Amino acid sequence: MITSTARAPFDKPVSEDARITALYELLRLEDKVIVTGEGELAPVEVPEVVHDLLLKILKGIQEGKAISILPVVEELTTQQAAGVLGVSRPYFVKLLESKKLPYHLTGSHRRVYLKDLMTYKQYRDRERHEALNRMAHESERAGVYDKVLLPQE
Amino acid sequence: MSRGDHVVLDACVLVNAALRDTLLRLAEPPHLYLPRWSHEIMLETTRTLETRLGLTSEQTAYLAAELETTSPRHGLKGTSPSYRQ
Repeated sequence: MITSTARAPFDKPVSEDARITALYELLRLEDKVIVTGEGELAPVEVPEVVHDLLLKILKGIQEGKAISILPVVEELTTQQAAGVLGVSRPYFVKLLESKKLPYHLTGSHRRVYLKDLMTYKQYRDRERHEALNRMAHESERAGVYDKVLLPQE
Repeated sequence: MSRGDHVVLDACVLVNAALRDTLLRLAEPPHLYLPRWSHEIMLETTRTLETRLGLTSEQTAYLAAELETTSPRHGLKGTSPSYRQ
């Protein structure tokens, strides 16, 4: 299930830079990493799949990227999908009804596949980016890009 | 403000191209915030651009259509206009 936290990217606190770098280097250079705590529990060797995942996360953080971890689920409700896109549920339903992305019915409820949603999101983000470029270009052309209007009393 | 918060961009922001451009680019992935404006804000924006910068109605209609592409207003209704003529 996708919760609201799924799309809140993880930020790197500056104070933890050094430890993050050290951990990244450790995981990158060593095949076998063992985690120990301060309590009485036995040390655990980090499983390969977790090792790979941690490396990917730390690499992203190193590059200054914000990291989101999205649990992979096949089907999303319209509420969950709207949350991923950052739009309201009614707006998302309109997208479905105007056939912007495919959906199917589970009983009487609309569901979308995560893969279709992410494809749509990429398409939408690209469209937005191009629209921003066109607008900036048009404003330049009209000679108003750097015009500043202050509110009047 | 945390990521994913809705932020209303009023007409006094949207009429300034450089500011509008910069703020909307901040809303690109990874979506620092979610920009919103109402129909009233959009009307005020196009009206102000026409009366104070002399843009044509074709130019402002183009802008309004492109802005709708970047951030459909998702049902945001009304705000108090800060940009009265």
